Amino acid sequence: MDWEFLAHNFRILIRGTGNTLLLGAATLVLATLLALPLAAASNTQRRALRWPIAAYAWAARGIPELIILFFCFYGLGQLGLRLEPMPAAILAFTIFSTAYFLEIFRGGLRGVGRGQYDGAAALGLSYPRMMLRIILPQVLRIAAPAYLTMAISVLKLTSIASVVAVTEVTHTANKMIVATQRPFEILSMAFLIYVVMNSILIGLQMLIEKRLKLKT
Amino acid sequence: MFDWQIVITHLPDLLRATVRTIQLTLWTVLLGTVLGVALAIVRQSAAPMLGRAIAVYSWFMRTGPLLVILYFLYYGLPRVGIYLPAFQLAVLGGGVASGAYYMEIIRGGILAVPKGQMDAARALGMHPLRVWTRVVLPQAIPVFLPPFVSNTQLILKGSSLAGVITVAELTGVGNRFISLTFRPLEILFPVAVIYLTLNSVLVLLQMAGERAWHTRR
Repeated sequence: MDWEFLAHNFRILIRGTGNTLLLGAATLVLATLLALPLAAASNTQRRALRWPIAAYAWAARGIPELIILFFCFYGLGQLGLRLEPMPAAILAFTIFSTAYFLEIFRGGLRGVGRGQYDGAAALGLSYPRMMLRIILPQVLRIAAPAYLTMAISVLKLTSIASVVAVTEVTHTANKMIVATQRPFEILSMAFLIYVVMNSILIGLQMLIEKRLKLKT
Repeated sequence: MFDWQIVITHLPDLLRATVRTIQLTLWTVLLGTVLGVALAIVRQSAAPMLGRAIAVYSWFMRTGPLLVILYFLYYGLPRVGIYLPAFQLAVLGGGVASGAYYMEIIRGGILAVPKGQMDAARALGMHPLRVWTRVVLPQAIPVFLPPFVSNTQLILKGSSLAGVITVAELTGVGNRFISLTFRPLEILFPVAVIYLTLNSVLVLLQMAGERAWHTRR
């Protein structure tokens, strides 16, 4: 066990986690903020709103993430918008994550009983007040497990950003394989870094789920 | 503007690569399912040590990225003297990674069939094979078909990573064409359409399957 080698290279790999977490966090924030209003919009009766959103959700979930990433990094360049790897990755990840969160929030929205809306109307609450104070908290509670599972998937997926030269963990590991010629050690450490990160998230998920159960 | 000529000239090669993608997906699903069934069975009859090993494997596959696994096989195996074509490496990586998910799916299906069904069938003197084909599977399949198909959709999308380890599938070939033509949009658009078409085929198969195995209660 060449501990010196492992320790030295582990420190280099860890530097990649900064970008991994940046990509993951930025994506989660943006995608959640976008998916909530879209989910609310797709729950209305207006077909003109539902169709484009449904089409977007279908396309963004059906096209491989790597293709969406290539589109943001290479495709937009052809249209004149040349993005750096990280912004392109954030854009791409937001595009498909929003679609997944959109479906998750729609499911949460459907889980809120009709009585809630009637009750709010009986209390004379305005639409924004009702949405924010009554409906939204319940949607978040119902959608929490699926949401957190998706969040973990997003963090796992950040490794594909390495293909467009985002200097996150996988990309760093790839460069180090060439430098050190020790793929087993480097990749095992990289893999473990992801396992640990996601395990922390899973732990968080279980904690949140437990607290939510107690509240109801 | 959008140059359709580029689309037309590259379409035959893209379609050939699509065949590769379909093969890759099917083989991965096959390996993953076989592995999942085997693990599900082992998990049921569990020796506790084995059950824990399977749980660890499952945890790793659900928290670790597929791309790292693929790189592991691609760079690592030649170092221990195992030289396999990239296609097989991709199937191996995808199959092992998805096996954990398939195990959960199949366990869900089998657990959904009430034990009483198997007991009653055997009490009636049914041949054990018939018990499986006539009683258990028809009730288990509607339960695990939707997650099975959605997992297959995920594998179809995951196959796009195989291009990174030089498999000549749709995304990898598309990427090469982008470098050759400098027209990413003309390449990415047909590629996206092809993936969406394959996806739709899967959804249609799922709908047909649900209709075929719908148990009348």
